[in-house]
Amino acid sequence: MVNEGRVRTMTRAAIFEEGKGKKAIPAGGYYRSDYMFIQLLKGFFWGTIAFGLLAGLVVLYGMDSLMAKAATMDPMQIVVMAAVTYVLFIVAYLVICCIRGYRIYQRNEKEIKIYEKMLKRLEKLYE
Amino acid sequence: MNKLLEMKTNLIGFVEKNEALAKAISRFVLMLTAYLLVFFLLGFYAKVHKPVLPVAFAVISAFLPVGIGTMLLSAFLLLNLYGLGIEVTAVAAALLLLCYILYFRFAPGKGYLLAMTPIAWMFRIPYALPVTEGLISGAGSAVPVMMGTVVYYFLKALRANPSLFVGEESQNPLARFSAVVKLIIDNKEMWLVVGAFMLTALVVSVIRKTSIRNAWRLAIYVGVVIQTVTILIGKLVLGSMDGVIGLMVGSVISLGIDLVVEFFLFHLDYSRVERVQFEDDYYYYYVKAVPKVTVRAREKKVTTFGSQGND
Repeated sequence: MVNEGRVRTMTRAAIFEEGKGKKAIPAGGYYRSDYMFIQLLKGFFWGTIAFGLLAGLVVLYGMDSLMAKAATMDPMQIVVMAAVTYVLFIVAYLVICCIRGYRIYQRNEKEIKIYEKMLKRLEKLYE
Repeated sequence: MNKLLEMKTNLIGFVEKNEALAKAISRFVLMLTAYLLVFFLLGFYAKVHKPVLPVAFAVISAFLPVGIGTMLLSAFLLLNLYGLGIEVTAVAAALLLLCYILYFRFAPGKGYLLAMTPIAWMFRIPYALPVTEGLISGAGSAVPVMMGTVVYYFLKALRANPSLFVGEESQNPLARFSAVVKLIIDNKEMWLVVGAFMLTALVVSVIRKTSIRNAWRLAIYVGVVIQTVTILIGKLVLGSMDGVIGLMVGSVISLGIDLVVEFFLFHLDYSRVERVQFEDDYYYYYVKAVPKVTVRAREKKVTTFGSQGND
């Protein structure tokens, strides 16, 4: 005979596994510090590409004035300016990634706890 | 009101019953509209200006995840822009890549907004999107709306100034690159709208999360007012009052759309609020439970005339 409680719990667990759990369950396998480190690495990679694209667009935008300025500036000064801008950009981007990653990890933790409770209840229903 | 609630229940029931079909049809309609707009308004490259292409791509996109469908649309757009020169295509590709970087980091799963925002702009109803997204998903979803707005303004500027890029073979390629980028960076109205959208989505998502009565309704009204006033003040400061009537009409239509969204997703009965208090070992709980307004769909009664023996 069909056990209604069992079916209900299994359905809820399956909905979680197929939906939010697809990302949350693998992410829940990491320690918080490891998860944050991965987020920072990803952020560093994509942030660097985004900076490259933005810098390219800005250079193309001010091509005329930049050419005129570059002639009078020390090349070392240009490199230092570019490096400082990059560091500022990447730090700001990584801070945003960090806050976002932390929030997602916390949310995942809560959802996985609920999921684990469901699994325990299911186990009891089968005993 | 009961009639409306009944219609809502029936509609939700119908969509739930035919979920896969409803999703595929809505994806097809969205993508076909986007492809046709690219085809008719930005068809600069004669070699791909064939009516069968947008329809074929839209059919394929209907069966793909929205994110991949949007990437396919971007590829089709770049192909069309190639008619204006490699410089335009390269800048557009860089801009789209930036959009995808931001989209995948901050609003994954909201790819449809990248396609929907320029479409909403074409139909003059973009002002509904920041409020709707602030209500449904939070401020993060404003990112694809903002990126979609940047893409729309860029494409609009390209459409208005194709002579900048076509027929001037003698022009220096670097100067052409510079001219394309200037279309984006020098567009003050675009930055104004992007800022207003971001502010609106933030305010709406903050108000929505509060536990005050009618939080969604209040968020909608405040959001629409803030958005309209910010853009109006910005236009005054920029000294360009073009499109003010469109802004006002668009805001009123957006208000209507937002209220319909609220009706479908967050219709609560504040007259039946229940407040309960209880405690456990660690906390006191003060719970306010607001019931949803629902109505059961009317059941169809089938009356049979005549006896079965006649068959």
